[in-house]
Amino acid sequence: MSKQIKKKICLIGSFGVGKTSLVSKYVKGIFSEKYLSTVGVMISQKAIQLPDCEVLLMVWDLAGEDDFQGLRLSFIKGASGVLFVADGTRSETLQLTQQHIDRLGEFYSDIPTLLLLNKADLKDRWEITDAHLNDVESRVEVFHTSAKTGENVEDAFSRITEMMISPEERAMEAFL
Amino acid sequence: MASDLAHQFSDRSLSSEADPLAAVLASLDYIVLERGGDGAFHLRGTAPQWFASVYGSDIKSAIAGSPFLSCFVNEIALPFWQAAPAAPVRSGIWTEVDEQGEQHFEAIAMNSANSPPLLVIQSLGLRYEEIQMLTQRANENALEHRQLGREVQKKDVLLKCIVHDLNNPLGAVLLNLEVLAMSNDEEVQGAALLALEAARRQRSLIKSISEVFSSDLSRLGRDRECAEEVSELVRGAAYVVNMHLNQALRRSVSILLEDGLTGSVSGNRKVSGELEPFVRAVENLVLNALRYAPRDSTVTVRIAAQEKGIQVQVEDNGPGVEPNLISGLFDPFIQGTTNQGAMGLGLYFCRMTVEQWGGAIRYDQAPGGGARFVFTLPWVVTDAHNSDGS
Ligand SMILES: Nc1nc2c(ncn2[C@@H]2O[C@H](COP(=O)(O)OP(=O)(O)OP(=O)(O)O)[C@@H](O)[C@H]2O)c(=O)[nH]1
Ligand SMILES: [Mg+2]
Repeated sequence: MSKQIKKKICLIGSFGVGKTSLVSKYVKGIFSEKYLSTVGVMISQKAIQLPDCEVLLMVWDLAGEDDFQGLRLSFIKGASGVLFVADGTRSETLQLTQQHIDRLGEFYSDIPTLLLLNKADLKDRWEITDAHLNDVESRVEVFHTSAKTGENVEDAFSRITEMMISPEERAMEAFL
Repeated sequence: MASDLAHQFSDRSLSSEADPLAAVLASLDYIVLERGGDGAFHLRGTAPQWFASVYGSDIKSAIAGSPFLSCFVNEIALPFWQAAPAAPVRSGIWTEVDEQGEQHFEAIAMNSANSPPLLVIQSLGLRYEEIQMLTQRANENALEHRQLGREVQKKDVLLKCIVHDLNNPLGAVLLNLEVLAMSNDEEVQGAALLALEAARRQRSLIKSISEVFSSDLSRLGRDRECAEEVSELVRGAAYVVNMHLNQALRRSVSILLEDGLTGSVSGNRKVSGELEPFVRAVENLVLNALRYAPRDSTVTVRIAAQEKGIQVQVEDNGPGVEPNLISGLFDPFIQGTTNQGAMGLGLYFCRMTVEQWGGAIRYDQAPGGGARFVFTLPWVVTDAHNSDGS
């Protein structure tokens, strides 16, 4: 049995975009229509078995606030990956995410990041133009997710995990 | 709740002989940890009950075992203790989940002059519910506000499209009807004039729809401050009467303007209002009256001064408003059973116009049984007037 690697992931995004829902879908397979605002920080764990090692993901779900500095920025310390989450039905949440991406870049330029454009089940109500999307996609890898249907949720978490663990790290762990 | 606290307090004060203050803190669900020179934390005073049940008895492994606490201690508190500023730093709320469900905490790193650095952790208990509820409400309100804004925007766009699409062909219709109205054939001319009248009414209706339903609220605030001389408004009312004389005559209806203002002291005072919307409001009422006025009757427009402002009445000898319609008469889209639809917005427009100037509009039964619409506009008190009037 190979050793377990612990990895911290933070979810960042405006309130109500679906951060908690994405975590809940991913970790527990549960989705709820009811909105329960997160206060502060809530951490969930999920173990993933990769071919050559086991990863324990520590998923930090941060309450959606529009500013991204001070404490919230400090909580990113020690994170191996950041999932930015925006709500496709509210274009301003995507704009905010772009500011957050810039801000993160100033402090932690080499943390792997993904953008989850959530509520893909409501695509007929999305407010994101193709031009806007192209612009975002040129800066960060984007997944269109739905915490409701589960669309791309596993894939997004798998992808960030893959980005966080370097091949050397895997080989090392396998070797130990 | 209070007695519960007192009970806990007495319990704990027994177990803490040395430091009564620490016992108080414990009863408030704070745990106070002191950071020794070796970097290890030591309990100061008494540990509240929650601590052992959430974190166990070993403080070191408690902190190491909580990803949040260890992040706070290592990334935020340590640099803080080293820099030693006076004001404490708070972790913000975090949630731990165990078999008992969710529990919520906040940690505070402190420096004090004569003791080692302190780490204080509080269990929020019921206070969390309050904070959560406030956050939730704020977020939900923001979402709802946004949703409403979007709906209003959508409505505005739709309105502009409708107004645009309705107006475009109307230009051509009016132009051609005007040509037809000059025909030598009396029958054609008569029909063209009728059609022309209807088309003009439609145009003014479209205009008022776009005005009333445009959500440009900044306009409203501005209009409150506008003032117009009474003599101007009388001129406006006369203009409306003259405009519709011919139309009325064709149905043997006469329109009469009773001007109680010109030449009076009030004639050069100002009321809150603006000429152009005032004219449209009066015109709406006059057109409405003409629609219901029977043949050989008179529509009367009265303007008079009152103590608080001017009063404008528009009266006809028609059937009056059906009693069941009176209460909602000035709401949008009200329709009598006999009208042709133009009434839907006219009275609503009048109300919005008059109310935005601080005036009021109402419906009265005319003495002969017809309809009488009455609106008032308040005097604007200017310094000039005050010194004149004294
Ligand atoms: N249709 C749909 N609804 C979703 C989706 N994801 C989340 N929601 C709903 O959106 C609302 C907000 O979801 P949360 O997961 O609580 O949002 P959050 O980002 O954690 O919000 P904060 O905790 O306030 O920052 C809830 O009512 C969810 O049911 C999705 O993919 N599709
Ligand atoms: Mg949440």
